[in-house]
Order: sequence, then structure tokens, then C-alpha cells
Amino acid sequence: MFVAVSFASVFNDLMNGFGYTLIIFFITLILSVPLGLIIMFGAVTKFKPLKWLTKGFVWIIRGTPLMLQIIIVFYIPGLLFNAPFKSRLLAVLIAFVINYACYFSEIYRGGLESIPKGQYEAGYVLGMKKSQVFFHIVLMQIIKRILPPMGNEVTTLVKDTSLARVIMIVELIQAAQFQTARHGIIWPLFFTGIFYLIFIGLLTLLFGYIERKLDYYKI
Amino acid sequence: MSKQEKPLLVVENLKKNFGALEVLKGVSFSVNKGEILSIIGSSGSGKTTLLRCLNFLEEADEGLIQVEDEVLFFKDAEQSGKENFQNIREKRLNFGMVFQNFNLFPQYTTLKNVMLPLWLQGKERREKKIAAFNLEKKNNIKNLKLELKSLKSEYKKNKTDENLKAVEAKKQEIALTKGTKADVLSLEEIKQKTKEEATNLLCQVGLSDKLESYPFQLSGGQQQRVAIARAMALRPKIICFDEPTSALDPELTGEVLKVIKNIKSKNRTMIIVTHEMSFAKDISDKIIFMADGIIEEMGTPSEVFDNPKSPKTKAFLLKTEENYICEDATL
Ligand SMILES: Nc1ncnc2c1ncn2[C@@H]1O[C@H](COP(=O)(O)OP(=O)(O)OP(=O)(O)O)[C@@H](O)[C@H]1O
Ligand SMILES: [Mg+2]
Repeated sequence: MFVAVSFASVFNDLMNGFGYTLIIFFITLILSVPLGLIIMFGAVTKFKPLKWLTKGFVWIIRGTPLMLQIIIVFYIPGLLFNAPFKSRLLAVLIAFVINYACYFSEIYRGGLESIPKGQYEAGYVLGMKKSQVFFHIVLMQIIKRILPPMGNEVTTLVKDTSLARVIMIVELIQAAQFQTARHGIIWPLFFTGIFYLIFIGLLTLLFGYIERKLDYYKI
Repeated sequence: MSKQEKPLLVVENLKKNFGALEVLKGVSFSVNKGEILSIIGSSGSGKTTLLRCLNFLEEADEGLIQVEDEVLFFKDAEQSGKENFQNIREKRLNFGMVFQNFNLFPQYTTLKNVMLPLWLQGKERREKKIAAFNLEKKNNIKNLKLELKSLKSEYKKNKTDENLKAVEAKKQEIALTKGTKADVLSLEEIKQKTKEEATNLLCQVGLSDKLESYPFQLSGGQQQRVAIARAMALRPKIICFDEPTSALDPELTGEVLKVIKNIKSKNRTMIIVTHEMSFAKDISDKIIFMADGIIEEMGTPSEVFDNPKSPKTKAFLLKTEENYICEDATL
């Protein structure tokens, strides 16, 4: 009797934690994928000041721990502008989106730079505009190239969501650890692992599926 | 005297530097419609650079490029800046280009590779036509509305049946004008036409059985033939070939050269950079031998190959002949 009630309430708490994990994951993904594209354009522009500014920014974000960035984003408005965040989740999301956009921008840039010059030139001599060359010729090749590294990065994002606990967001692991501490039981922590394994397993299948879909041609 | 034929392409004093390196040092030649000009010369003499300047993939530093009566590029020593390098996109359409390493689009089938430029151009022309039509329509409606206004005030002053009728008629005319649509092909029709044209071009290069293959499924020779079909798609006035067979295994060279021979016609003008001497001699109306960024010798195939005047040409031809003999000896 006692055990059954405990399982239901623990599971409920874990699901709440998993909810935060999902929110952080999906919102970060949805926003950082396009933001990364914008940052990439900054990093490859011919306008030197913007280029170096962007590159410097990306270097800082990639060169420091995401955990530190979360804490800094969380404290900046309160300590510098006397307007603390009303929502901890918002602070986490801002830090995550910026961080992942920078990583994605580097992946995009690698993809862009891997496209041979001849592809552009072939388009130009056929009277295409720059935008046409990008959307009709280059884009699909870039997508194919970046799919594997994007898959890795997205998998990492799933696990990184646990960093949100650093500003007391009760995501999956934090939720499990509370249960462990409160009831002296170990299984919530293992249970957490299963959540991650299933989630990442599904993502791996999804990326594998897309890669197979694009297998009809070779670059 | 018979009327002098006017050249299709005139190039005068074309110069191009890469930093301190003078790659083209003032190149002048002309090509008549339907002619085949072959350019030979040792590595680094500037042949590719010349073709790239014609296709506006590089901007020349000085010189003139003229096709028919249109000056596509002109810059003399005093001028600088990019002012003469505008509307490149349209100017490029005078030339087609076949690259050494094909540069097919890997994600598209053979057919789509050839369709893409046709489709984009067809769509763009359609949009332009619609935009022009709509602009005119808007102006027409504006004018009609002004006329309506004056008719209305006329009617207010003088409420006759006749004036009322005129107002009604004008209103109807406006409604009719508003309902008109530009007379253009639908996108579906354009696609169909594009597909037919592309299929036809691929037949000409002997690839009608490979329409649905992707580039990676084709041999190098077949890929280059697709590239030739693609270069013909937009009907450029002049097709340039940059060593079309030098990335191919020797046994695939023949099929590509044969295709080039097949597409030769009195309406098709070609400039071919090649190391295939017997091919050049056989197919060309005119040969240019380039050395160190200048035209060392120019003339008919028999003039250049059989009676070269310049010592450099002689040395070059002797060398290629030797290579040829060596290759033969290894067989
Ligand atoms: N973008 C560039 N920047 C700097 N130098 C260049 C560039 N393109 C070509 N060159 C130089 O210009 C010279 C002529 O090159 P080009 O490719 O026109 O020669 P080519 O006659 O086509 O030779 P090949 O027979 O080897 O193809 C070479 O010395 C080359 O190194
Ligand atoms: Mg070359």
C-alpha cells in the first residue's frame, strides 16, 4: 500500500521534471536552428567588423561552460539593471538558445564552406541569382552534409537540459534527486536514465530516417 | 568584294592580373557565327582565365568584350571600379560554359539538371510579364476612375439619362478591366515545356536512357555530356568548353568529343580549350595558341598545326607530339 502510493507520487514528480526537460529541449531547438543561420551569415559576411564581432562572440560562447552562461544570464538583469527575471525558465531558455545557436552556426558554416566553388559557378553561368543558387543548388547539399553533426548536437542538447537545475529549475534529474533524498530510494535515478535513453533513442531513429531519405544522391 | 562578315564575338586587348601576376596581357580575337575556335597552349598560359572572363566569373582589368553589337564589357586603362560590371546576370546568358570537372548538381537527376535553368528562367519571365501587365492594368484603372469621376460630376450637374448611362458604362468598363489577367502560360505548362526541351537536349547528347539517373550513377563521360546539354539549355550564343575531356579516362574521351562534333551546326558557335590536338585540328575553323598570357599564334588549323611560324608554337606542338608517341609506345 505504502509503496504503491509512493510510486504514483514519485512518478508524477518525475513527469513534471520531464516536462521541463521537454520544454527546454524543444524551445531551444526551434529557436536556435534559425538563429544559428543568422549567426552564420554574420560569420561569413564580407563586412569585416561584423564578421570579427560574430566570430568573437561565437568563440566566447563556445569557449565557456553553458552552466556559467546560465548563471550569468540569470543574474545580469537583477544585479546590473535591478530588474530580476520573473521566470527562471526564461533565463535558462535565453542561455540555451544563444549557446546552441552558436554551435549550430559553426556546423552550418562548415557545411557551407564544404560546397565546392564550382557548384556556385555552374549556377551563375546558367543565369541564376545568388538567392537561386543558394536555395536551388547549395542548400540541399548543405543539409545533407550537416545532418550527422546536427544529430550529435541535438543528442547533446537532450542531456544538457539537466544543467537548468543550476538555477533551481526542477528538471528531470533534479526531480529524481529530490525523491531520492526525501524517501531514501535509488530507483528514481535509474528511472531517469530510462527517460533519457528512450528520448535519445527516438531522436537517433529520426535522424537515421532523415539521413536515409537523403541517401538517393551523393555529394 | 563580298560583304565582310561581321564577327559574333569580338575581344580586344583583354587584360587580367591576379595581384602582381599578369595572366592575360592583352588578348584580341574574334569569332564568327557558327565557327569553332579552339584554344591550345601550355599549362598556366591563361586559357581558363580567358574563358572565365568571357563568362564573367572573373572581372577583366582592361579590354573589350562585344557580342553582336552589344558591348558587354569595356574598360580602358584609366577607368577603375566596378561600373562596367553591371547586369552580369543578363550578360552571362550570351555564353554557356562546360567545366573541366562537370559541376553537375548532385541532388538532381540528369533531367532536372537540365530543366533547372530552363524552369527558373521560364518562371522569372512569367513573373516579369505578369508584373508588367499588372502595372499597366493599375494605370488603366486609375485613368478610368478619373474619367468616371468627371462623368459623375457631369451627371450631378446635368441629370440626364444619357449621362447616367455613361456613368454606368464607365463603371462596367472598370469592372471588366479589373477582371483581366495577363496572358501567360501556367506554371504547370511551363514545367511541361521545360521537361520536353530538356529531354530533347539529352537525346542530342545520347542520354535519353539516363533521364532519371543521378550524377553519381553516371560515368565521367556521361556526366560531361549532361553538362553539355545543360550548357545548351538556355541557347547561349557561344558555348565555352574548358578542357572538357581532361578529367576523363582516355576511353571516355571519345564519346564526349563525338558529342561536341555532333552538336556542331552553322548556328552554334563554340570556343574550346583543349589538349586534344587531333580533335582541335579536325573540328576547328580557327586555332589560337596561347603562351604566357598572349596569343602567340592564330590561324586556321592547317596554318597553326602544319606550318607554325612562331618558335614557341613549334616547340609546343613538338612536345605534345612526343607525349603522344610516348603514350603510343606504352600501349
Ligand atoms: N584566382 C586566381 N588567383 C591567383 N592566381 C590565379 C587564379 N586563377 C589562375 N591563376 C593563375 O593564373 C595563371 C593562368 O591560369 P589559367 O588557369 O588561366 O591557366 P590555363 O592556361 O588554363 O592552364 P591549364 O592548362 O593548366 O588549365 C596560372 O599561373 C594560375 O596560377
Ligand atoms: Mg585551365
